[in-house]
Formats: sequence, C-alpha cells, structure tokens
Amino acid sequence: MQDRPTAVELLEAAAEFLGREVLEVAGGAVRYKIRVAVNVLHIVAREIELGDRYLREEAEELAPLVGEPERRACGGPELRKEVLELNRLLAERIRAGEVDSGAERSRVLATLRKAAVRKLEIANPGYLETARRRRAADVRRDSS
Amino acid sequence: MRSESPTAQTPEGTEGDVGRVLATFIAKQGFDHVVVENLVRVGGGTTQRLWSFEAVLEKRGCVERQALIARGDPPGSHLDRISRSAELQVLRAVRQAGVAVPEALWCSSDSLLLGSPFLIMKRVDGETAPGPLLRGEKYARARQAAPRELAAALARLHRLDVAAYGLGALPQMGESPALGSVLRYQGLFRRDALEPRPVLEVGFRWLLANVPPTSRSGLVHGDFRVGNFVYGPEGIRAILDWELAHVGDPLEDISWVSLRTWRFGLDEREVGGLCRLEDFLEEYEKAGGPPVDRGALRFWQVFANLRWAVITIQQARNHLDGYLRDVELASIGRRAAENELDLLDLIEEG
Repeated sequence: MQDRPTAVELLEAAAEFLGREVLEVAGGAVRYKIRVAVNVLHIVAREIELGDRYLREEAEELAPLVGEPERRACGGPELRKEVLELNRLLAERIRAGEVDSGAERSRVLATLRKAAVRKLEIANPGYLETARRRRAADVRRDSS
Repeated sequence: MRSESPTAQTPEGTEGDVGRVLATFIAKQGFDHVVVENLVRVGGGTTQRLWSFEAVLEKRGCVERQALIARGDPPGSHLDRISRSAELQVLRAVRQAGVAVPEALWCSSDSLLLGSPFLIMKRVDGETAPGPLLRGEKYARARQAAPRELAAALARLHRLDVAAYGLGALPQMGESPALGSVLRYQGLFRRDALEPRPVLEVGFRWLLANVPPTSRSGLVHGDFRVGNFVYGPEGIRAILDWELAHVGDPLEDISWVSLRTWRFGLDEREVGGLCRLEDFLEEYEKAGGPPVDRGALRFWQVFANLRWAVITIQQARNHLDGYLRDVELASIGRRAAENELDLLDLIEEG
C-alpha cells in the first residue's frame, strides 16, 4: 500500500501548484496551457476514482450486445483490454449493418449513450451539467 | 533586433537566424534591401509557428515599412491542410471577392528556410480570443455587429466562382459534396483512429444512409468559427486560418460555425455564442448567400460533429506519435465525448 497522500491527493497538490504559483508568474501564451494542464490533472483524478467502476459497468452492458460471455477482469489495464475488445466487436456489428434499425438499434444506442455520459463524467462533467440544465429548460418551455 | 539581407543576393540554405532568413527571402521577392525589425515569436495556445515583425523594404530609393506575419506549418500533421501556395491563392481570391482577410504577400515551399513551408502576410492587429468578444464590455459593439459581418463574409465566400478564380486545384468533394465529404472523413477515421469508436461508426452509417438529395458546390473555409478571426471594438477585421479551405457544400461552413463546441458556454446562441442559427441564416441569405436547405441542416450538423471528432483523434495522434508533444493536443483526445453525445441526440431526434 502506498503512503498518504493518495494518488488523487498528489494530483490535487500538483494541480494547485500549477494553477496558483506557476500561473502567477507565467505570461502570454503559456497561461492557457497551464490551465489545460490543470484540467488534465483533474481528469486523471476523476479517472482514478471512477475509471475501473465505469469499465466494469461498460463491460456488463456490452457483453450481451456482442454475444460475449461475461468474463470480467477486476480492473486496470486487463479490464481496459477486455472492454476495448468488446467495443471492437460492437464496431464490427455496426459496420456490418446489424444495428441499422429496430429494437437492436435502440438497445445499442441506449448503451452507447451511457458510455458517452461516462466519458464526460471523467473528461468534462460540467458539460453534462449544462446539458441537464438545458434539457430541464426545454421541458419547462415545452410544457408551458 | 535588426537583421539585414546581404546586399548581394546570396542563397540562404540554413535555418538559424529567422530574421536574417526572412530578410533575405523577402529581398528576393523584388527589393534592393530589406531589414527585419522587432521579430517576435507569437502564438496564443496554438501549435502554429508564427512570427510577427516589421520589414523595412527598399526599392529604387523608395522605403516602405510593413507590419507582417510569417506563418509556418506545425510539425508533421495528420490534418487535411492545403499547401501554403494554395492558401495564398485562396486568400488573394477571397480578398478580391470582398471578404475581409489579411493581405497575403509571399509564400515558400522550401522547408530549409524556416523548418517548414511558410506564408507571409500583412499583419492585422486586434484580438482573436473568443472571451472578450463574447463577454467583454469593450467589445459590445463588435458583439452586436459580428453575426451580420460573419454571415456576410460567408455569403461572399460561398458565392465565389471557383473556376473563375483559378481555384480548381483545391481538394474537391466530388459531384455530390455531401457524399464526398462523408467518405473523405470516414477514410480519415479509418486511417487514424487507434481504437474502436462505435458511436462514430453509427454516425458515419447514418450519414451515408441520409445523404441529402441536393448538394451545392462552392468554396468552403473549412474551419470558420469564433476564434478564427481578428476583431476590434468596432467589429470583425479579418478571417484567418484558411488552411482547410476546399471545394464542397457551403452548408459545411454553416454547420461548423454553429457547432456546440464553439459556443464557449453560451449554448443558447448557436453560432459561436453570438446569436441563434436562424438569425444568422437570415443575415446570410440577406447578404446573398445561396439559399439554405434547412432540411439538409441536420445531416450537416451530424457531419460537423463527426468531423470534429475525427480531428480530435488526429490531434491526439500528433502528440502520441511524437510529431508535437503538447499537453493541449493530448487533452483534445478526450473532447470528442461531447460530440458523441450531441451526435446521438441529433440522430435520435424525430
């Protein structure tokens, strides 16, 4: 077991350093890049916390869509490799025209939407927040 | 810092003193003597190689001072760029057609001079970052004028007679630009994607099954969006970044400028956070833009999302493959998730 600070706490420390001390003395074009780097560290922190759980959920959802048994690695690179393979099989089905219509299409699109949401929860949770607010506003507008 | 051209016209074969290289190169374009001053490497968060400088140009006793920009190519890129000389031709043509663009002067395909082919144009001073235009007090007037000015620029661009301006050598999307554009980007996706992307597969299949029956052909900017023009407090000054220009369906530019990715948080204002798409289209048609087939818009909006997704793949690869190690390029690889969600919404609509 690694000692404290945890991996996420270390990332937070690095992000704080960049976002305050470094940004303070940085000028010009590099200031934007510093903010990008801080954001990258936040993405990694979220991926550390959510990544494996999301991969397991994705594996669970994809396996039946491609006729694969639910064999599951626990986490880490092996799990990612499994999910990569499941995605590859799904991509093949789509290219073969097997997902163009009907109930199968609805199932697949619903699964792909969940996958996209998971990507955003890690890469840009603010985007989902904005999307949710937008949908709520649309619903209010449509019902008035 | 001053750099001078040698008074004898000696060939310049090595990189090194950028100022000296530029002075020598410019002198060869027809001047007796050239001095380069105040050379500064610029570039706000982009991967381009950009130099700003003043050139003192002497010819037959007449001396002129010009504020110039030299722009080189980013290191080995996967993107669909045209050559600097093609870009120079495009800039000249659209300028003649009345679109506000920098005045392009010279170009070189010799990579030995500055490390890559480059283009030299007159510098247009002003702001390029979207923030001030969208939210700054100082730019309220520009904010108000921008939709009409951008729509008018696109209208002029899209009406331009490609053959008459000698631009036939630009990349073409074929007889049906809609189909041609999809096939081109699907090809790039297949070539450059490192891992499977089922959502993008769904997107391309949908596009191929929903090609609009009619598709126009015209000069397309290829990256027309808020962030790619110079502006001042009074309004738009010059449209930049023409390296993706090609012959295709003008609706490509319309859907690109209204992509959610460049609304900078002002989601309701579909066109770059400035105004609603319908208002923009009204201005566009008023300014003489070709009539917009609103039924075909959804196709082009799906295409725009896919095209940007492919570009994020390519940019991430530029970093991963080592062409340009850059944290911005690396992080772009995570951004297509936004477009995947939007794509699914568009496809499932109605």
